[in-house]
Amino acid sequence: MDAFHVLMLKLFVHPRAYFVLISCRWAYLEAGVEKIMTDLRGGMDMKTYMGLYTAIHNFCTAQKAVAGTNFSNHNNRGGAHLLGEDLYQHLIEYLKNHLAGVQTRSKEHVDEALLTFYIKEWNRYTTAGQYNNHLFRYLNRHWVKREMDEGKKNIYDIYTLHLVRWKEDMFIGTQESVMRSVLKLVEKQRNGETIEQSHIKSVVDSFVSLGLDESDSSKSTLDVYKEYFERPFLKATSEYYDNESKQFLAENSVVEYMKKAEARLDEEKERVPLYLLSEIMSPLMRTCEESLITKHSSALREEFQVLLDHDKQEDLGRMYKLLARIPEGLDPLRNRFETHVRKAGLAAVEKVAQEGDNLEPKVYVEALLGVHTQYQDLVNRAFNGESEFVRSLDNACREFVNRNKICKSGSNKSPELLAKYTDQLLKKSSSKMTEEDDMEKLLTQIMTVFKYIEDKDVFQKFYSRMLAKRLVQTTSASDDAETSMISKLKEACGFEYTNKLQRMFQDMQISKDLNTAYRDWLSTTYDEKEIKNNVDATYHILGTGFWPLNPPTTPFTPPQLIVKTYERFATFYNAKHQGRKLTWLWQLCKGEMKANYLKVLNSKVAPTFQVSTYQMAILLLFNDNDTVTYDEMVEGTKLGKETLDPSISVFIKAKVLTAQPENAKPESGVSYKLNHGFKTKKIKTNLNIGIKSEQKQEVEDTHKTIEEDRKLLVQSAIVRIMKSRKKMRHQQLVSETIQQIKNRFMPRVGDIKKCIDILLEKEYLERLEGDELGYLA
Amino acid sequence: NWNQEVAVNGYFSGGSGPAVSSGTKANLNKIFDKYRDDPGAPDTVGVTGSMSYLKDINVDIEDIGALAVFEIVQAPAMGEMTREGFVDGWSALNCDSLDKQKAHMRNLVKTLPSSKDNFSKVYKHTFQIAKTGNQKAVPLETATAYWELLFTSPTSAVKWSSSSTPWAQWWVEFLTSSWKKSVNKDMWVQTLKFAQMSLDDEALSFWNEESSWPSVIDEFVEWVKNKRGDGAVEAMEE
Repeated sequence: MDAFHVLMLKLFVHPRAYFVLISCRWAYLEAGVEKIMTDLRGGMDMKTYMGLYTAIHNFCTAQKAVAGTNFSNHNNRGGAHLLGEDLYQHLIEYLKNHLAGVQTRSKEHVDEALLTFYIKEWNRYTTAGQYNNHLFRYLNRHWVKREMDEGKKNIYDIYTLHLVRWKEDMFIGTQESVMRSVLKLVEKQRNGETIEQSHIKSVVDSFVSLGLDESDSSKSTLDVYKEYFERPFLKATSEYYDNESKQFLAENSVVEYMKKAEARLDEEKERVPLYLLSEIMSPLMRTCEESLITKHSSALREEFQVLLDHDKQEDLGRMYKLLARIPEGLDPLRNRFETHVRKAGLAAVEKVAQEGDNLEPKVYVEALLGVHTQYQDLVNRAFNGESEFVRSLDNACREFVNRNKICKSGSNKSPELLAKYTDQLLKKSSSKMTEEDDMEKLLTQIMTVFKYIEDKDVFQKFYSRMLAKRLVQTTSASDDAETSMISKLKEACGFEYTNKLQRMFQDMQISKDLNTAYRDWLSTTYDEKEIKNNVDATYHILGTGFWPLNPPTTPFTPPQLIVKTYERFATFYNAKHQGRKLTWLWQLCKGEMKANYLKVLNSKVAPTFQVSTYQMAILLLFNDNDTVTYDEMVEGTKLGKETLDPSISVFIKAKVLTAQPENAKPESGVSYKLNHGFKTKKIKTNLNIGIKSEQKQEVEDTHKTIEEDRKLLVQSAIVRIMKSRKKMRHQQLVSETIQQIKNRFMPRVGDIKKCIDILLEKEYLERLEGDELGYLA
Repeated sequence: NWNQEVAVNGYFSGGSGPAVSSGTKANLNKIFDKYRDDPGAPDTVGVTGSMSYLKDINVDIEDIGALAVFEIVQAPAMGEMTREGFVDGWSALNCDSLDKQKAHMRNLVKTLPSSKDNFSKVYKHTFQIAKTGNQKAVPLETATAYWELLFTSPTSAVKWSSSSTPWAQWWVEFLTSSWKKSVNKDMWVQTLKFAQMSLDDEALSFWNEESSWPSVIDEFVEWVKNKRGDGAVEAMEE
């Protein structure tokens, strides 16, 4: 059609035509239009085309000749108006007649044949329309434009006029049967047959072309397409999948159905770019989801528990993806998932709880971790790591970590066991088994459980006590691991939480330097001989405020030898730090003694005993006499019975001492004799053995201090809040206190109220009208 | 001028009688002097003096009336009156003779059972009387003795018991069997509030764990509910 453009340039200048063709009639034009309509392929020579074009031009400009005569009562453009309209109306009449014929012929076809016919006719008609549009260009430019500028309705450029006529005189009467054929074809394809997709695409395009904006013919809308194509298409889709899914589910398992539904959804999605308009994607998907998922969502959810029980990750993943597509599809799953995980956690704890009091902290923590790991994995793989499922997992874990069979005796059993497990890991004994990165991994796992612990203060308490022990007894496996753990805790709970732990670490370092300085000081103060006779001692200086250590509970008179030793150190220390008070923690001190009266078996070396300071004091009494009575021991050491008796028992058990009478309980009247027949193969014998009941007592003490600390924590939180608010309603104060405290532990309302009682009594607070409390400065 | 001012004060403090005159004060000082028993403490009347004073104005020393008198004179302790409290208290009521005081008390004791405001004033001051010296709390034994008087006397405006629940009795039983601590001012004041509310609503629906009651009240509610629950079971078994 490029030829058009060239032609039109020439056609413009042809002054003689005014007169030649002024009498031209519609009949002449109609013949030309008919030729374009029905036999464009037959070709039209340039001369004929020029003739037609000129005829139209003259038709429109003929007004110059007739102006002022026939139509003088009209305005000055009246002639052109009438003449243009005449031509326009003639064309409409022609198109109507032509299309009536086409429609009649369409009745002879059905199904694919109808589509073929419709598309062929459409293509022919629209091509002709474009041709005519150029032919009638003069009319378009002048009369049509003017009419439209004046806001006349139902006046279109010539091509659009073709479309309007098609819509009225062809489309309205045939669209229903056309769509029926289209939908039959689509159904065939859904059933697996191969179809001529281009037919449908052409129909879609034709429907879209008919979407004319009534108010502005230069624009197009999708109204016609939506009404006559999309709507029936979606309806048919919905019916098709309603039926199919119902039938499929009746004959197959839910798992199979999910695969089917997934495949169908993919199929429909792929269908869109093949022959549909991209605009249909979202409504089509919504329709499919409604039929394939929403209508069967309860059946799917029923299966969820079964899949969880059998850990079917792949199917769970499929279910997640399906239900994630519909609104609120996943909410019920999250609830069930949470319940399931919690039950799994409780069951795992129940299983290990059968070991009773002998439950190893490691076993317990691993049971908790096992459940968490399994379901975290599931969330990541099957549920796409979605944050809502992560939250459900967290809720479930928090629940079973803090409230389970082991915790029945007290909610702080979990943090206690976790702290103990951490202690075991960080102690020397286990270090051989764990490589460096393994240790890091294990500590990370501990933090996973720690995150769920509600009573973080309990963990802190136990942890700091055990850290203190590791440091004092130098049983810590590695400084790096210790530091790493502390920094992890700091990251989780903040500086305040780990402040004391860090200070304990620092004290150890400072003590190291202090001991070096002390040695230097000794060598300058005493001569070599004196130093050689002195007891070789190391000192740890631990800040009272940072270490969870208490002064000894028993009175004690250290032996003269030790008194001299520590007095030397005290002189040095006081010179360095004036005004500091040193309190000796005898219960933590230990030493080594050489038993000169003995020989290690098969050697000439005297064995060494590792003992506590208390035991040292007892044994030193035997330097003066081979037999020492119980009363003399009491007198010499001043130790309380609860410390003295177990210390003696260790010696009896190890056969270092013998009791007289034999097997007598330690009490007044019994005497003890040094056993010269003591036999050992070891150069060092450890007699500094902790006592079980002491450990139990320690746990109880720890819990007790936790209670005390909590009361203070709650009270100070209340005072802090009231100090800034001055006045506050009771309930609000309680809930804000919980907010402030809960990252340390979950306070009970009753406990908070007791603290309020105390503060009322201490007159920090007063009761005001209407449930309000006031702050008294 | 001076009289006018006092008259105005008297008016605003609710007194409808004539203004307090210097004569009134003189009279009251004279009465006070009559009962002084310790020459070393010229502005104090001790226990012996107070007892005979109560007797003279016809007030039963073992009933709420006596507590009411101590409230009027703002006694700092049981059986102890100060000159200032005595003079100020009675002159505000315009009772400057024993006869007037006797009449006032007769009337007060008669109306006390129906006057919650007056009763509440007496109740609150009783805490001051019950505690010894500068202590902030009253020993439980003392407190329960006063509660028994205040909640069961015929003169009480809050007789804390009902056909279904012997509240005051249970309260004392609960305190002595499981609370076992001394009673602070807040607990004292809140107990009256709780007593009044529990009489209005014996199901205790006004109570919940979140509300601002001191924890002793919370524990008592728990205790009562248990006790009632037991009672119900027994009733069913019978």
